[in-house]
Amino acid sequence: MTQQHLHPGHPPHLMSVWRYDRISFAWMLCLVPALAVTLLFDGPSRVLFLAACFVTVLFWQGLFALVRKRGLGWDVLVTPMIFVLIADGGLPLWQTMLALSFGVVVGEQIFGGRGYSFLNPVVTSLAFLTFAFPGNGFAEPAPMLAWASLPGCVFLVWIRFISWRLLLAQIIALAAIAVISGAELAPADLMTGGFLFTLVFLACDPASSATTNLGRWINGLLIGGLCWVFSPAEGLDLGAKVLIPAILLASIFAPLADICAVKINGYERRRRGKS
Amino acid sequence: MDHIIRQGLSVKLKGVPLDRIESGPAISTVAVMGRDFAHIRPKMLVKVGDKVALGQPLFCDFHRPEIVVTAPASGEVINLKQSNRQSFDKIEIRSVGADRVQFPTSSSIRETLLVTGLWSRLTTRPFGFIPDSGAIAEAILVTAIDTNPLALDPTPVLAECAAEFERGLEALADLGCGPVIVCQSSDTPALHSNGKAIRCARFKGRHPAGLPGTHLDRLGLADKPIWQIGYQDVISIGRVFLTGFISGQRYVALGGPMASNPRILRTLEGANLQQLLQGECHDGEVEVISGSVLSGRVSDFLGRKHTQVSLLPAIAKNRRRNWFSGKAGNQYRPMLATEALERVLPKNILPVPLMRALAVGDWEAARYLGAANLLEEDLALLTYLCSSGTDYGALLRLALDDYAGVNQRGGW
Repeated sequence: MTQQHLHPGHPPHLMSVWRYDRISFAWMLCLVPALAVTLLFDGPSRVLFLAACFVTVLFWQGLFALVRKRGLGWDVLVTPMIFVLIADGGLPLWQTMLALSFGVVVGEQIFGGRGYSFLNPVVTSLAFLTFAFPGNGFAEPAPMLAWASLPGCVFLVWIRFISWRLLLAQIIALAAIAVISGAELAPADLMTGGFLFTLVFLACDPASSATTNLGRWINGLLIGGLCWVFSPAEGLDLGAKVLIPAILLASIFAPLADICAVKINGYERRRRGKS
Repeated sequence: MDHIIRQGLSVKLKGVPLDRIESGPAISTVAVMGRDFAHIRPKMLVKVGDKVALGQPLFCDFHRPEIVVTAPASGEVINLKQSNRQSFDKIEIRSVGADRVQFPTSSSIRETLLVTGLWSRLTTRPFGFIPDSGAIAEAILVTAIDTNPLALDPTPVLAECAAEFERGLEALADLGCGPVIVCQSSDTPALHSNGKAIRCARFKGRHPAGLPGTHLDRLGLADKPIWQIGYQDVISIGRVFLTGFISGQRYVALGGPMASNPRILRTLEGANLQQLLQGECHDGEVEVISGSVLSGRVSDFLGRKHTQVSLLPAIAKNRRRNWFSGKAGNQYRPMLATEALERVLPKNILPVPLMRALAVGDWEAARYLGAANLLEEDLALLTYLCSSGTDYGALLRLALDDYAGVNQRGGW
C-alpha cells in the first residue's frame, strides 16, 4: 500500500491471523455451504451458469491485475459465487455477462479493486440487471439457503469481520417498519428465502459499508428504511428485488454516514478539550 | 482509582518471561542508536577512538546544546556511523575500565537531569520529542505498567529498586511540572501516594491498557502538554540522586517462541543483543526484536526505551511465489475496514478514518481525528490487525513531525 519499507526491520513483525489473503479465503469458505445447497437444489444448469460467471469475472479481474502488475485475490471466486446465488439462472447468457462485467469494472476495478472501492460488484451487477432489463426476476432461493449461510454468518460476526452493529441495525429497522406499517413480519421471516444471505454477504460487506461504529448504525437503519421505500405499496417485501437497490443506495451513502460520525467525534473531542 | 479498559486485545505468544530476575552475561559493547534520536540533529562531542567515561556526554542537540546524551558505559568509541549531517546510525562503545563521571546532587533537579543526560528520557506529548530544557508540563506520567505481549512485569523490578524509584519520583515532583501520576496495574498495591504531588492511577485490562496514550485519554489529559517517562528511567534518576553516579543498568525481559529460557535479565542500556542472547535461543533462524513484537524493531542493540527483547522465528525470505499474491514486493494487500479494528485505540479515536488519513498522507485530516494525541506505539495494534500490513506507527511519525514543524527527513 504505502511506505512498506519506510525503515528496515519495521513493524509489523507479526500480523494477525486474518491477513488479507486468509480473510478473503475464509469469506469464500463461508459461502460454500450456501452454494452447495443451491447447486443440489437446482442441478447442473446452475453449474454452467456459475462457470460462465466465473469466466467473466476472471477475465476482467485478470485484465486489471495484469495492467496493474498485481496478483489475483480470492474475490475472483467470491464475486461469481454470490452472484449465482441471487441472480436468475434462466437469464440469457449475454445479459449475465454484460451485467457482471459492468459490476466488476464500474463497481470495483476502476476504483482499484476490492478494499479501494465503495461498491460491491455483485450489488452493482444485480442493480444493473434490474434497471437495464426490467422484466427479469431473481432466482428462487433454495429452501435451506438461510440455514446453510447461518454458520458462515456466525463465524464472520465472531471474528468481527462483519459488524454485528450493521446487521442488528438492519433487522431493527425492518422490524420497526413492520410494526409501523402493519406489515406481517414474523421472526421466522429472517430464515426464509435469501434474506439473511443477502444481508450478511452483500449488505454487511466491509468493503462497501460504513467504517465507523456510528456510521454502521446509520448505514443499517438506512438499508431498512430504503427497503420500505422500494417495497410495493401494500406491504414490506424482503426479496432481492427490494434489498439490492436498497443496499446499493446505502453503500453510496455510507461515506456520508462516516463523515457524520467523524464530525460528531471531532466536535465532542474539541468540546471536551475546552472544558 | 481503578480505570477498567474493557476493550483491547491480548496477543498470545509462547515464551512468556518468568518473574525471575537474573544477571545477564557480561556485555563488552554497548551502543546508542540514532533511530532513538531521529528528530534531533546531533552535534557529536566524541570521535572514533576516544576514551569515554560512564556518564560523559556523547552528543548534544545542535539547536539546544544543553540537552546531551551520555555514555551508558565507560570504554572506547569504536564505531560512529554518521549517515549524514542530520542524523547518525549508532555510536558503539567497547566497554573497558570503570571510569565514571560524578555528578553533583546538590544543584537543581533540572540542572542535574540535563547534565546526566537523563533529561532525554522524558518524552513530550503531543509529538513525542525531548522537551526543551526550560519547558513546563501540566503533568508527568510515569508508566509503571506494561501490557505488551511478552512484556516485562514491573513488579519484581520495582521491588528490587524501591528506594531508587521513590527518590526518582520525588525528584520529578520537584521539577515544578504539575502532578506526577504513576500509572500502574490494578493488580499491584499502590506504588506511591504523596497527596497532591505524586498520585497513582491504576489500570486494568488488555493491551493497550498499559500505554500512556490510553492513560491520557482516561485521565482527561488529551490535548494538554504533558511528559511521559518509563519506570526504569525513574529508577535511573533516583539512582543519580542517591549515589551521584549513573549506573547504565537496565532490566530486560527475554521472551518469545524462540527463547529457551524466558526470564528477566539485568543488563546494560544499549547492550549488544548478540552477547546478551548467547545460548538463549532455540535452534533455527531467529528474528531478534528490540522492544515489543508489536512496535519494536529488528536491531543488534537494545533500544533506548525498550524493556523487552522478543525472539521470533525468522520468516523464510524466499517464499514460493504463488499466483494469488502476485510478484514479491508488489503485493496487493488492501485494507478492509472490519469491526475488529474498533477495539484497539483509546476510546475517543475513530480508527478507520485515521488509518485512511495516514495512509494517503492527509496529515490535516489525521490531526482532526486526534493523531496529535497518539504516539507510534498506540497504533501498533492497528498495524497488527490491518489486513494490508501497513506500518501506521511510521506514518504517524511523519505526521507528528509535520505538526511540530520538523522537516529534516525530506520526502512528503
